[in-house]
Amino acid sequence: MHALELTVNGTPHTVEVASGTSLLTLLREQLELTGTKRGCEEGECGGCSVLLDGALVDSCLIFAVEAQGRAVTTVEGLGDPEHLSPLQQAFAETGASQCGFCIPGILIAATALLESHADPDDETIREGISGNLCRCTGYTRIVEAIRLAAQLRRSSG
Amino acid sequence: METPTYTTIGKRIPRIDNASKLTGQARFAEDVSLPGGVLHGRVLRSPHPHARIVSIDSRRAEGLPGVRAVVTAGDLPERLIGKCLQDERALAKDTVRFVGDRVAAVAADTPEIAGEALEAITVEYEPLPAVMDAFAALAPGAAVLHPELLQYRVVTAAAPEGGNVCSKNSLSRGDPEAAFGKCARVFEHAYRTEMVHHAYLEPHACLGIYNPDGSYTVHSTTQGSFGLRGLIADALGVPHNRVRLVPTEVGGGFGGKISLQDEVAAAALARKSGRPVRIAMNRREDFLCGTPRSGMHIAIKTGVNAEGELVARTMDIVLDSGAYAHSGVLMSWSLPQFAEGPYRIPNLRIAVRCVYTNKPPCGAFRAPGGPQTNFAIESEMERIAEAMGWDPLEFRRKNVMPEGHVSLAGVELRNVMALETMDAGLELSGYRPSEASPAPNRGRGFALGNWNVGGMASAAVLKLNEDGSASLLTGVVDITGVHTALAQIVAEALDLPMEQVTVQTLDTESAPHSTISAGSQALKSMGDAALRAAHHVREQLFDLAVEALDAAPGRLELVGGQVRVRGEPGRSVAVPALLGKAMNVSGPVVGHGSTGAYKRMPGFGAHVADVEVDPETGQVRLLRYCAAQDVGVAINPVAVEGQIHGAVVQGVGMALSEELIFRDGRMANPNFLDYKIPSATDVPPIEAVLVERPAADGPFGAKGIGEPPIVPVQAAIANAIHAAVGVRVDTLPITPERLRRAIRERGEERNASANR
Repeated sequence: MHALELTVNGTPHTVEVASGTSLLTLLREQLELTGTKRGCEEGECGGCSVLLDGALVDSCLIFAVEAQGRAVTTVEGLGDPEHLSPLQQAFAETGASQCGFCIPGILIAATALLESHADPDDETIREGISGNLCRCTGYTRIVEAIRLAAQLRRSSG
Repeated sequence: METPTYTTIGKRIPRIDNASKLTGQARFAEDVSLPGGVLHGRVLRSPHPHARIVSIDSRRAEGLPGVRAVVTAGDLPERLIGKCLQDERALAKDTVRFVGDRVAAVAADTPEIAGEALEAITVEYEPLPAVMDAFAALAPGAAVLHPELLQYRVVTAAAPEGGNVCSKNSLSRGDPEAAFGKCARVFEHAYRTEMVHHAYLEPHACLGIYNPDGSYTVHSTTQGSFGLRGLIADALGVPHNRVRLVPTEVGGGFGGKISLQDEVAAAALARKSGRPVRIAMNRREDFLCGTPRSGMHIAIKTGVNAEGELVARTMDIVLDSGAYAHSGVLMSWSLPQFAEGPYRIPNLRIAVRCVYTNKPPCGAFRAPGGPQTNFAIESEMERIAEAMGWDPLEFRRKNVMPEGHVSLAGVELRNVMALETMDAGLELSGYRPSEASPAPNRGRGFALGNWNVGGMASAAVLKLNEDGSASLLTGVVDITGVHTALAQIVAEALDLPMEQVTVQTLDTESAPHSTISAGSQALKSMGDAALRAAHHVREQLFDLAVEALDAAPGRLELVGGQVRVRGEPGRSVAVPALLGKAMNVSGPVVGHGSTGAYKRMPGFGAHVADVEVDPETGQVRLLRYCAAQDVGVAINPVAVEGQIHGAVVQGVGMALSEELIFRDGRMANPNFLDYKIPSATDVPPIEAVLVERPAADGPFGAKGIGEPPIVPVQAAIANAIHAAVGVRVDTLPITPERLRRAIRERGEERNASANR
């Protein structure tokens, strides 16, 4: 067992993890943040995407202990039902969510993208979410939503 | 005809579950937790494609610390189950028939201990010859996978023939053989499609609970709680009301979450251990055990006359149905009816054989049989037109089915919108067959497809709360936004604002029967039931108002929370007042609506694909994709367009990159690395246009939309590839390897004939 201190969505946590525990398992099972999804556990689908010190990672490929002393952002940290972030609002308005399973990962990937691109074109947006598979939407509305979110961010300064 | 004006119908209303889905609050099956915690279950799955089980010894597993229960077939009643043909067991007893077949299950304190327990179960297998191809299964002397096939009970649709043919059916009209003899020209080709997986993002997961009263509660990611409940109850040997199936949010289904998976194992483990047990598949297991789209071989023969008419056709279809009949066998019932496609052919025979192989049992997948047969049909239309020197669009227009066309099954097809949909697709894309390609190795292709959408049976209950707000009690699962549409329907019918209508998915004990959220008919079926329930509520309100307003019900209307006399807005009574009165008179106001199965009607799609081919590598880049779909009335256009976008991209995967590959009896690519589904960089924005004319029946004229848009995609792309580089690949997927080989072979042929 390893003692571990990390910050998740701004809240500090001290936990104990068994050897080999992935960051994904820590988040879902121990911290009960089930928004981040287990889609393949092989780093192929992006359902487990989180930000680790702001960088986009697949949490299924990260050992929990690698997050020692670092800050993790999950979908739960982006907004809540009463206070949707501009990005989440853009998704709601555009109709970009269908079954919703890929959405937490996609929102995280979009967050990372919009941090480094204020005005991404479609190709850049698609590249930015190329590590996140979606089987329901065909990506059309997701790309529109991210473009709208970029616009909202620019106009709100 | 006057188009009615609606308050909510046809409006682009955001999904009512957005807040929960967009914030990660929505609970999927693996997210369901219980105060006392759950045990972690794993299933031991056969490593052999075909084997006899000689013995199972689970004693070492049972003795491991942290292992709470192990179950095998011996823990279940002795019986065969199956939706169409009862040929399988929840846990295998004597024989395993595909890699992944369930043999035993364990429940333990942690997933790691459960994994160790699986390895501690000793199973002695006697491998049997494996049959990995449908034609091999049909060959004389092939191993027979189900020696007792003809003793199995048929529930529906299946017509077992014997040997490895688990179902055989054919329908015909006219006399194709005689008619071929009189045709100007006859064309014969064969097409092949490989098995494809739904590849929903959420692997199967379920949670089994054994209740103190001896009943079971099972949470599952399922598109159809009632059918699944029935299968679980049958396997456990209990009446249906003793299994409460609680459907969770579903992370994509597409037909792959209708069947029984690990639920019986979870329930049996819960009973044996006395604790709730969660079984969540990993991605590899889901690939192995999912119920893929059947691989198909289609021999298609077509005769035309000099006037450009389709005169005769035969289609001989061999379906690789996998290890068990499951629901893949439904295609032996449906394809002879549906595979005529968009056309009217006076002499036609469609014959289907579903063949057992030692592959995963095939099931329903978005228009089962549709993309495969349309690939053949629409490739043929282009081939024939080219050979005869005809305009391929005119050739299609001349032969599309008319309104009221009677299918091979004797069903009169209504709301036929073939020509209108074609026009809309051509207008959106600007496609003209004669146009020159803008660059080398670029081309555009067209395909017309249809899928018969209908509706199965559903019932709904609608109750009014004391303040007049409404709750719809329904068991239909919401993946595509159907709940939002149901709320729109109730809001429209009772003139309520959307916030005053609640729609939730209830479990099988709390809600009346619901159809599956599949087959392009959840909205139509449950929408109709909800509308009837709303009308029933309105009727009761009018009856309550008769005395107060001194007017017969026929003169009353329900507007803005008031029942009032039509034309006299001053004479009104508020709904809450009527509800209060009801408490003293007739009792609480509850409405119910029940709808039976609908006749099917065709939903057409006319698609144009623009591709660019790299002839060196065989890679195909999709530059643009236009889809016109005939939808009846789009109750929620955002949801309808979303279905079209998603179906097209799923179809692109089937066209260009997806196939389950088997080597030495084993699936070689049970993962997202080697089973490639389209990512955001693989497809352009999908352009969709909705063709609307209210369907004769269905709530507010709605028609189903989930399946039709996937049907023409593969042919549109294949036809575009042909326009780009002049070759055809008659196998799906048209992988770079296959296309490159075809281009090279064509090059070699040309060199050979040039050198003669």
